Amino acid sequence: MNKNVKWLPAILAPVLVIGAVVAAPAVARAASTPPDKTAQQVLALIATAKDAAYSGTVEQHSDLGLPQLPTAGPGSSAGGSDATAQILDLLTADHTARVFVDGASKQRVQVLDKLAERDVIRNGSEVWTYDSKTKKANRITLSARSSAGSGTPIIGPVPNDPDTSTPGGSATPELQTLSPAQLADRAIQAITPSTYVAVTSTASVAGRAVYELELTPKTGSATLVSHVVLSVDAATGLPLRVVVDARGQKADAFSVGFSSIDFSTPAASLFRFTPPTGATVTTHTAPATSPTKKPHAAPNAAAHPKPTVTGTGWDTIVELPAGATATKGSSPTPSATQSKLLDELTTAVPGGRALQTSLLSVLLLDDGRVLVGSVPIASLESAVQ
Amino acid sequence: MSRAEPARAPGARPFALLGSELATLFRRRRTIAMLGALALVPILIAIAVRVTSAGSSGRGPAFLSDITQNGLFVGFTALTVSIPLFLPLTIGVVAGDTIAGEASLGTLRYLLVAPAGRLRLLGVKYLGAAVFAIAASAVIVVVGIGIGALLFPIGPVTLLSGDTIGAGDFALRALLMIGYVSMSLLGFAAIGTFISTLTTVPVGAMAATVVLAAASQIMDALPQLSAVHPWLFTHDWFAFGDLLRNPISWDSYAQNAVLQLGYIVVFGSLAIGRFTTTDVLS
Amino acid sequence: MTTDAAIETSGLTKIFGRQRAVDDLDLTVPRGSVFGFLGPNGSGKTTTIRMLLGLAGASSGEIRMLGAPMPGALRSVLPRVGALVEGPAIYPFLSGRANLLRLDAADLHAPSATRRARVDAALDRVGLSHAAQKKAHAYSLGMKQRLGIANALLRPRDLLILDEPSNGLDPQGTREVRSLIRSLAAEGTTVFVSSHLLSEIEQLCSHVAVMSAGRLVAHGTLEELRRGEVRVTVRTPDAANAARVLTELNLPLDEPASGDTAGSGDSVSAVLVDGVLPETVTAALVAAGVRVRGLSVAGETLEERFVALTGEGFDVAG
Ligand SMILES: Nc1ncnc2c1ncn2[C@@H]1O[C@H](COP(=O)(O)OP(=O)(O)OP(=O)(O)O)[C@@H](O)[C@H]1O
Ligand SMILES: [Mg+2]
Repeated sequence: MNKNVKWLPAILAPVLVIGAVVAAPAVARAASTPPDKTAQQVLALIATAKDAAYSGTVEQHSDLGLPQLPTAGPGSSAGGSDATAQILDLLTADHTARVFVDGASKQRVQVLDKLAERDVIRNGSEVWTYDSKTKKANRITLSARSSAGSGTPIIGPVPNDPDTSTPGGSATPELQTLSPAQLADRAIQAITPSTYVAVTSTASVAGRAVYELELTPKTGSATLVSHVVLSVDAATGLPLRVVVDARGQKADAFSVGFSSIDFSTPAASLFRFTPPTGATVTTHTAPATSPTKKPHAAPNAAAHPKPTVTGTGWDTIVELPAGATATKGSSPTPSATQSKLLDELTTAVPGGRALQTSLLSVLLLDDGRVLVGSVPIASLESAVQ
Repeated sequence: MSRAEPARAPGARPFALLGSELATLFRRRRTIAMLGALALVPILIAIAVRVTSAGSSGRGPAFLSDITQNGLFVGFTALTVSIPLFLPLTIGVVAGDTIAGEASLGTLRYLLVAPAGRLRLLGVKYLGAAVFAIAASAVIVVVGIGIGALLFPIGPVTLLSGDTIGAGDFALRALLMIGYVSMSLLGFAAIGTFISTLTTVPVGAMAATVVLAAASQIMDALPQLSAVHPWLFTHDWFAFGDLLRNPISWDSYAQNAVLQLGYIVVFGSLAIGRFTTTDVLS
Repeated sequence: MTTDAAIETSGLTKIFGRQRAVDDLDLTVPRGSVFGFLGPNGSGKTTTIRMLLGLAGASSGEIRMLGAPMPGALRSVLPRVGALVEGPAIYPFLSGRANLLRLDAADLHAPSATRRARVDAALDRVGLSHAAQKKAHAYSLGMKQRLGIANALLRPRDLLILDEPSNGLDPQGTREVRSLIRSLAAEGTTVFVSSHLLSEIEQLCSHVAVMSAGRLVAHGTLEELRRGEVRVTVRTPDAANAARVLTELNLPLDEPASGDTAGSGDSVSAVLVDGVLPETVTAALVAAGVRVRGLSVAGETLEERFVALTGEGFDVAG
């Protein structure tokens, strides 16, 4: 009897701990409900957020149905050398970034890696990128015109497809940490007659009440996207989260959003970057048309022939002509391992190889052309002619 | 418990047992040897980098390439190297030995007859393991900084964010890092203490504890198990890097503190349940 | 139950798996007594002591120690109890003195101001002063045993529970422990001592209990236990003649086969039944012309009584 009583705390403690774990999010969810708004009103609210000052943590999760690899050994720099593995990591792994924003001209994005970090810092017309693993810093001076541009220029031109999983880039902050504001812009453009729009106002993100803008394609099975949910902070209009769901998949295919946010102005010193001694500094001047496109990619982009776009709305297909991308990784001579990895990921189809993810299909033709679209592979194949 | 306690003798110090435990632990040759082995990690790293002047290739453990430019990074490199194996190994030895070691010596029965009180003894034993965890991480960082300063140039420290900090800020962050790493090990030490109450064979308890640390790290590396990752006690072990960002990212500190507290509560109460009911027959 | 007993158990039982290591033990140790706790190997003595000290929980039954229920009042009772359980235990990497300092620090109620002095006094009492700074792994068996006894003496105690205190001690040590127990008893300390050295128990104890296979087979004062047959032993070259005389006196002769006290060789022994005086035996032997070299009359030894109670068998009870 006495013995049983002494075991009581041992039984109660795990119950309490698990109870607390379950109860905590439930408590956090109890945010007050904002007044109802129409979709137009919510979009207008977003526009007011351009000059907001805030800092927060952004988390990106993807579940694209790609194979997952064990994470590289702790603290080692492995994984960075193989371009295909790097892309795979970008597509399948989760990422966390911190965002510091003070109005339209001062931003800093930090992609938090294990014992490493990649930074993009913009202060007026000066943009720095820094990678702690390679100790490489890039300095880009924006032309007067482009530096006066949109609220979040550090993200660069948005990819042509509705999500960010474009192969061919290396793991740069630009690509991974599309801030909610950027993705919101994409979503706004997508609100065409091809989409059903609905607004709800009962959810919360990062402890803040939000309007949820739900976009559902009308095209049905022609696209892989099931629907897109954009969460907009009810008080400030700042987009806090974007979730993309894929057809026939329960888990969110892709989501990027704030896990915490603080609307106080970040310290000014955060936007003043001096490259550390020992870092390799490269200086660029950004072309006016694409202000902050990743520097080493910029000359290539200029040389490329323009891609062909077929269709509009959700089932758009983009055809990149031969030579437009280094599809087999960013290095010109792919190593044996990375092409092997690429072979594992793709399946052979007549005339080339196909990569099918839950949100995006890619067709790599033997003649070098690449077709990309948020559509089934079959649609890409029929678009080849 | 019907009878009133005898008035505590004047001059009786309730913390005497803790003092005695720490003195016993740190006077033990085994403990000193383990701390010495941990101190050897930064020393070997520093000498290896110095002799080969390698490390600029960007390969190897984090911060290795920073050492030639700033000796202060030796401590961080050594932490990175020690966290997966050496730290859990030594803390597993100490935590696994807590109760089982006394039981195998037979001194457990004399401590209990003294009477030490089972709860108090368990608490003191756990605190001893916790203090060892602090000492272990402090040895790595402090010896690392020392040997780095001896063999390499030192100067302002570059953070992961690319910003540079001065000596005072560096000292603060090094202290925070010792605090973070030792805190990360507290849940693990609680597990070890619990396992130690299950057996009178200390080597068995130590081995089981160390194996658990390895298993947890393996699970943490398998993406298929990502659902349980946030619950693994090793999950935030490497997040000490967040102290080298500008500004410091406290999220992982707080998250890890809650996680470790959860482990301490669960395994602490299991250990209490077990140790207060078991027969001491050794 | 009377409350002036130092130890009182009723129905105390400990079951290990299917074995009843201690079975329904009703024991009363009067205050101020020196209590001998006897029993063959594996009869449950140490197990009983573990239960008394709260190291092991009883499967059933009750214990009162120094008037308080155990293990409920463990924290108030144990500081007044010194114990040696199943031999000494040491930290081999600490000196003898550091060993005692640590165990004393474990006692929440031990004043730390006098700790060093008390430790030194205890070491002195067991004759370890000169080896106090030596690492305990270098101690001999008897030195460890002395250290264990010193641990029991760190503070003035109302009750000492000593499990085989003279195990491994040299003759001086054994004598020293005996005189130590006597002097402690004289100061009023109750001593509960388990031992296999029956001569020692006989010299020391006022009360005795005997265990056999977990059960109590005898319990009382030493006199009560020893009361029984008195024996006469005749040493003579005329053994056959002497045996005839003793038989004529109606004294039952011991079996010749049972060891050295029997009629084999040059001695004959028999139970001295009530009413027959030793001088009558002497006169009868002389009258019969038996050449008597010696004649002794002795009560039963504790050892004989012990063997009678617990059996001749050498094998321990499983
Ligand atoms: N931990 C244990 N598990 C199972 N059985 C045990 C345990 N400890 C003791 N026993 C059993 O309990 C019985 C009594 O053992 P105990 O140690 O009390 O004997 P003892 O009278 O002290 O013997 P000795 O004279 O040899 O010291 C023995 O049969 C022993 O096998
Ligand atoms: Mg025994």
